[in-house]
Amino acid sequence: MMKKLLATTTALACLAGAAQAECTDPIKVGVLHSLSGTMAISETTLKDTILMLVDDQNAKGGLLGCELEAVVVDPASDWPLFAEKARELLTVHDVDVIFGNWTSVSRKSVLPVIEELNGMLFYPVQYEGEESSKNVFYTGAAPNQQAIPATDYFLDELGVEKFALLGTDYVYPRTTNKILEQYLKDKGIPAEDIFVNYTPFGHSDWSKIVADVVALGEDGKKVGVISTINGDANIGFYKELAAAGVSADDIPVVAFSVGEEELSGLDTTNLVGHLAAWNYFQSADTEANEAFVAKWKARMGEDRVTNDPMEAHYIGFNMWVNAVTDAGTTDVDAVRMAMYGQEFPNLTGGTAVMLPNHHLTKPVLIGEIQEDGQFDIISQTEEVPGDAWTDFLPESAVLKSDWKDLGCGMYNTETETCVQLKSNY
Amino acid sequence: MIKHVLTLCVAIAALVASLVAAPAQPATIETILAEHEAIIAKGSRKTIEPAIDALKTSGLPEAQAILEKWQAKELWQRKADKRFFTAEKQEDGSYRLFDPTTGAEAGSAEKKALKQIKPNAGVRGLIGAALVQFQLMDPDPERRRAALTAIERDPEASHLAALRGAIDGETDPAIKAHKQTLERLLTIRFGASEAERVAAIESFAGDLSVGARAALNPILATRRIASATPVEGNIAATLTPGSAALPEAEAYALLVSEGLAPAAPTREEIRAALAENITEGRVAGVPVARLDTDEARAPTPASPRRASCPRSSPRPTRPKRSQGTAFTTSTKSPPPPSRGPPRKPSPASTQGSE
Repeated sequence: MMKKLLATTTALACLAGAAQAECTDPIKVGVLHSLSGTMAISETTLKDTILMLVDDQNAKGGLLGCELEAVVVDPASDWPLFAEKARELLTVHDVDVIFGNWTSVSRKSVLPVIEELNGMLFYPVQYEGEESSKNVFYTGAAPNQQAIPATDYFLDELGVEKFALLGTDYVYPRTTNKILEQYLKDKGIPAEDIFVNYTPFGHSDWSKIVADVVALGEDGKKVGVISTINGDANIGFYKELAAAGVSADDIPVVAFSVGEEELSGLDTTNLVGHLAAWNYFQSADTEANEAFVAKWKARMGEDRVTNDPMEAHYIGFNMWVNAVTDAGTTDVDAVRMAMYGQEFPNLTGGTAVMLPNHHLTKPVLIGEIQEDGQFDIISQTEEVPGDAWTDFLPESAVLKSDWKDLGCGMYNTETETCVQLKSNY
Repeated sequence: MIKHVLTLCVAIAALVASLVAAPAQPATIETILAEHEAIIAKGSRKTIEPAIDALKTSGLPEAQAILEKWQAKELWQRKADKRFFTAEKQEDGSYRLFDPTTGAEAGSAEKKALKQIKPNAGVRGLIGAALVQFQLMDPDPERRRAALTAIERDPEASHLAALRGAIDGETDPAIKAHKQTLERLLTIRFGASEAERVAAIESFAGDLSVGARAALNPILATRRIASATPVEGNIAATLTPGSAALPEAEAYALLVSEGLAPAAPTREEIRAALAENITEGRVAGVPVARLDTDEARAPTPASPRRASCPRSSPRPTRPKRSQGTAFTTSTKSPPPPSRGPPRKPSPASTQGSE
C-alpha cells in the first residue's frame, strides 16, 4: 500500500509539473529474464530490448516527469527462482511493472507471487493460452494467432498428411500439442498419423528422433514436423536435421520458438526452406521496422538481429507508457484499466490493440529460413484477436476472459459464472 | 544468356517429345499470366493448378524460363496494371523492370508499387513437377538431378512417360541408375497394365529404403466400404456384420458414413422425441414413468419390419416416433445385407483407382 501511495503522490507531483530532478523516486521497471542457463540464448536479448526502450523513453523526457530506472535480475533458467526474483522485484525493489519470462513454466511459477502482490507483468512470448491472469498482459501470440494458422498452412499449402509434434517437456509444448492434436483430429487426420515426442530442456541427442521422423514417411504420406522445442536444444535438433540430409521440401519443420536470435548461432545453409510462424520477422518491410532494426544494430552491434518477442516487448512497453500517461499514475489497477483499448502500431504494419482479455490483435506471419538466417515472409494475415481460451478443446470453448467489463479471466459463458479470479494452476 | 538459349532448345525438343498435342492457339506467356493473374498473386497450392497447367501445356518455348523464374521468386507484379515483370533493385531503392519473356527493359517502379510473387514451398513443388518434362534431358546434370528430386516429391502420371523417354539417352551412370529406380517406382503407381505393375513391385523385393517402402505400403493399405451394388476392384475380404471383425455397431456406422442408412438417433434425440410425444403421461401407450432408463427408451427390436431386412441395419436403434410413416421409409431404405467389403487392393486395383 505504502508503495502505491508513494507512487500516486509522486505521479501527482509530476503532473503538477515538477521537474525531473524533483521526482522523489524514479519509476522502476523490473526485468525478469534469464541471463544464464538453457534459456539465456533467447532471453538475454529481451533484457537488452527493455534497457533500450527505457533509455529511449528517458531520452524523450521520462514518464510523468520522472526518470525510468530498469532493475535487472537473473532468474537463471531456474523456474522456482523466477518466483523468488519476482517477489524480490516487487517487495525489495518496489518496481512498478515487470517485463519478463520466456518459458510458460517460468510464467506459471511467477503467477501466484504477482497476483498476491498485485504486480503487473508483461509476457512477450507466444504461448499455449488456457490462462488469463488479471496481473499479466500477454503481448505474445495465443495459439489461434500462431499454432493453429501454422497447422492450417501445413495442411492446405504443403499438403502434409502425417504430423510429428516434437516439443520440450513442459507446459507450453504439452498444452499446445494437446490443442493441435484435437485440431488435427477435427480436420480428419487419424490418430495414428500424429506422432508426439517430448524431450527434456537442453536435449542434445537427436539422431534417433530425427531418424524416427524420417521413417514416418514409409507409408508414402507427406510428413511435417511441428516443433515446440525451446532453448538451446534447437541447435542440436537443426544440426541433426541437416546432418540427416532432411530437406525442407521433403519434411518441412515449422517452429514456434525459433527466431532470428536462435538461428544466429547456426549455419543455416542446410535449413533453408524450413519454416517459423511468428507475428514479426526482422525482414518485415516497413519504415517503422527499418528504424527499429537500425536503432537496435546501432546500440548492440551490426551483427545483432531482432525477433518477435522483442517486438512484443516494444509494443507492450509503449502501451504501458501510454497507459501510465493516460492514468497519470503507475498504480497497477489504474494502469490496468487504462491499458484496455490501447493501440500501438505494429512493426509489421497495422495496429495492435489491447483487448479486455489481456491479449493483443496480431497479424500471423509465416517465414521460410533463408541462407543468411533471416526469414522470407511468404504469408501474412490481417490482425487476428488473441483468444485466451481455445475454441478447439471442449472444456475451454465455453470459457471467456474479460477483465474490463466482466472482471473475470475465466468466465463460463454457459453457466454465466466466474470460475476463478486467481490462477491456481 | 547462353544458358537460357541452350535450355530453350532443349525445351523445344522436350515439348515435341513429350507434350500431348497442344492445341495451336495464339496464347502468349503474357496472356496466360494475365488470365491467371489473381491465383498467381494469391499463391496458394489449393488454387494454383490451372496457372501451372496452362503454362506447362502452352507449347510456348518461353514456358520453362517463366516457370523457373516464378519458382525462384523472381517474378514481380506491378500493382497498378497487374502485369508481371522481373525486377532489379537500383541504387536509389527503386526497381528496374524487365519483360519476363523477352528480357526487354520496361521502365522502373518504386518498391511500393510492386509486389514480389513468392510462391510457398507447396506451390514451388508443383512448379517443379511441371518443370520435370523440360529438365529431364537438360545438358546440366544438376538440373537433371533436380528434376528427379521433383518427381520424387510430387510424382504424377505424366512423369512416367517423360522418364522412360529420358533413360536411354542418359550418359551419367549414377543419374541413369536413379532414373531407372524412379521409373520402377512410378510404374508401381502409374503403370498401364497389371503385369507391368506386378513386375515393378517384384523388382523391389528386399529393398528396405524409405522410398521403396513409401511406394509399396500404400498398395497394401485397405479401407472398408459398404456398397449397395456389386463392388469393382480388388477386394481383400468380405465381412459380415456381427462378426468379430465387423461388430454390428461399426457396420451400421459404416452404412451411415456411406449415406446408405440414416444416422442412429443419439440418446438425447430419443429422449427429446419421446418427450415431444407425451400424451396424458404416456408415450404410445407406455407410461412415462417406465421410460426412465436408456434401455427402456431404446427402440424395441420386436418390430415385424425387421424380418424383411434381417441384419441389414445391425443397430437396433431406429428413429422411434409414435407416428410410423417416416419410420417405414427408413426401414425400407437400408440396402441389401450389407457387406463392408474392405477393399484390400492388390497392386492391380490401386493402379486403377489412383
